[in-house]
Amino acid sequence: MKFRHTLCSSLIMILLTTAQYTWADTTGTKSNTGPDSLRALLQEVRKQVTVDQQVEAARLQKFKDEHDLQAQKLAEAEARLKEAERRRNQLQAQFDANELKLSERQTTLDNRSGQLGEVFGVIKQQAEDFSGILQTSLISSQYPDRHEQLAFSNKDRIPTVSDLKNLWLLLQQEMTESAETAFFEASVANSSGQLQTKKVLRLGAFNVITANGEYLDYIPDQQQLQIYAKQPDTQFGNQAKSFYQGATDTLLIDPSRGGLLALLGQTPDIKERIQQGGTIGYIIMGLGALGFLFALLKLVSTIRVTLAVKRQLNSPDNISDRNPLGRVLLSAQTGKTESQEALENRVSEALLKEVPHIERGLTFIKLLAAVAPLLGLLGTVTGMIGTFQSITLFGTGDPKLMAGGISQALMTTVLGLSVAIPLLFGHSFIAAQARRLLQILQQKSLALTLPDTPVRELAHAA
Amino acid sequence: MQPDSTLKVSGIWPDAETILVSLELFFRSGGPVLILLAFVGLALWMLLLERFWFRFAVFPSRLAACRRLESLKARRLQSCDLTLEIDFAFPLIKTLIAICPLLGLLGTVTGMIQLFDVMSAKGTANPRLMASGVAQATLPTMAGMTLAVTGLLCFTWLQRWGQLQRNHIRDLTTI
Repeated sequence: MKFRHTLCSSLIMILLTTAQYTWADTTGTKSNTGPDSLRALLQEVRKQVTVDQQVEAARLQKFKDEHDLQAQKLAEAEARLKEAERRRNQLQAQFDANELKLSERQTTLDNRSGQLGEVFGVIKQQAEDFSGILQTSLISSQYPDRHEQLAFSNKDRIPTVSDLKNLWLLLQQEMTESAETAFFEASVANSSGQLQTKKVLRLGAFNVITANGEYLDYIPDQQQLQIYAKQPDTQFGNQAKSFYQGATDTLLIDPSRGGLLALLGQTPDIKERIQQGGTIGYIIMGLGALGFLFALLKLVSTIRVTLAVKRQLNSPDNISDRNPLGRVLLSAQTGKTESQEALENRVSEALLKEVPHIERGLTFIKLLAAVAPLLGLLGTVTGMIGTFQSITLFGTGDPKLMAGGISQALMTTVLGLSVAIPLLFGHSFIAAQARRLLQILQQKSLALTLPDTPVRELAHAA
Repeated sequence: MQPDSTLKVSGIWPDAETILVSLELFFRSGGPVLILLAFVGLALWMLLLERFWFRFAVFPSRLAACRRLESLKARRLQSCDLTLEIDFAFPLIKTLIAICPLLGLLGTVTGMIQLFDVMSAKGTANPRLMASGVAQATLPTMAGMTLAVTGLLCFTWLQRWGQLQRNHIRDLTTI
């Protein structure tokens, strides 16, 4: 730091000395012309001093002038301020006077209106309420912008006679129209949002239908009709269509003025329902498909065997080994000389060989039928766990949050039951067929091996 | 939907139209599972009635015909057919009876799902909106139970009779 300081000061010194030299040079050149250059310098200095004094005086004078000007301006401003204050006081006084007058007038108004003040209050209240009703009413689709006639309800003035008349007429119109069906033209937005002018039929204040039997929703904000994304069942659609044409006098009406029809759009369809079941739902359906396929194959094979046994029964002389009864009979035929008891043993032995073949796969179907509802229960429990987790996070304040989870959880139970019931039915049907077949095999094979002797002789022999 | 308001009972028996209307209301408020249950019940009762017909009209003459047969072989063949005919439809009836409460349970669950759907859309403020879900949940259960109990009563009686007849036939074919 110190070094830099000294450097700077030495530089300034150098500069000053050079400046002195140059000034000395110029004066030197002048003084070189005359012998008394020092006197000239003195004169020059004196001259310069007077010039400087003159300049200084002029500057001072200028400052004085400007000071006077400022003082003048200040005085002007103060005068303006005074004027403004005076005006303010005047206005304040006027305001107070007006205020007083206003309160007097208000008192006069209150005195004169007397009981009517409450009446106007009630009218405004009614008009406001009714304006809200009109905005959401379906009838406003036929007569738009009706609520603007009730705009006086928000304004701070006494309703005029025409206002009162409007309120009365609108109330009566709403009442009358809500009991009538009416055709009118309206712009209708379809599901993709395109506007079309259509002739529609309004049913009181409840529903609006088109010529095609589509139900329409009224959107108060845009004051236009919109086709419900999800229409009621086709039978009701057709009913509405023929009602529009005048062919029938029955019609589905939503008494909640569109609330239930709107709810219809929120209910999930079968595909969404199945998706709600989640992984366990798909597992159940997979097992179900496997079970149905298996049951179908088993049913076909059982019927084939039954038919073969029946054919064999019809032709007892032509014993074939391509069906169970034939095989049992063949095993009985090999030793005809044996006693009845040994024969029965052999037949039951041959029968035992057939049993696994006939009953094969039945247990599997039964297993699937038993597993499906259990899996459904598992899905319900996991779904409930999810619901309880959402309760832990968000509390029980919102029933909507929980209800969605619960309906999802129950879906797996539905899937499990709808797989188990047909499988159970199929299993018992096939099992009954198999048992019948086994009974036929057992009893008829034994009967067929008997000699054709009358009972009386046998009893006699015994 | 209040069935009582539409019922006009004159005398002891309501007329056909009233019954039809109340049936329609019943099925509409019970939902699709109730219709399925109706088919199952119809099948069950057709089978049961067929068994009663067999028991009182067909079986006695068949047994007598079997008894008249002289040959033991023919008697055995015939008695085998007869036993099979006694057992015919018994397993099916048993399964249908077992399925009835299961279908009722299915109806309960679907009804509950509808109930919770309504709850998730509209909250619990309006119990009237939930009423249709409750009806869908309870009516199939009731119908399933009714069908199962009545069916079981008849079935048990028929089965006991079948057991007796089987023993009887066995006596007929053994010496």
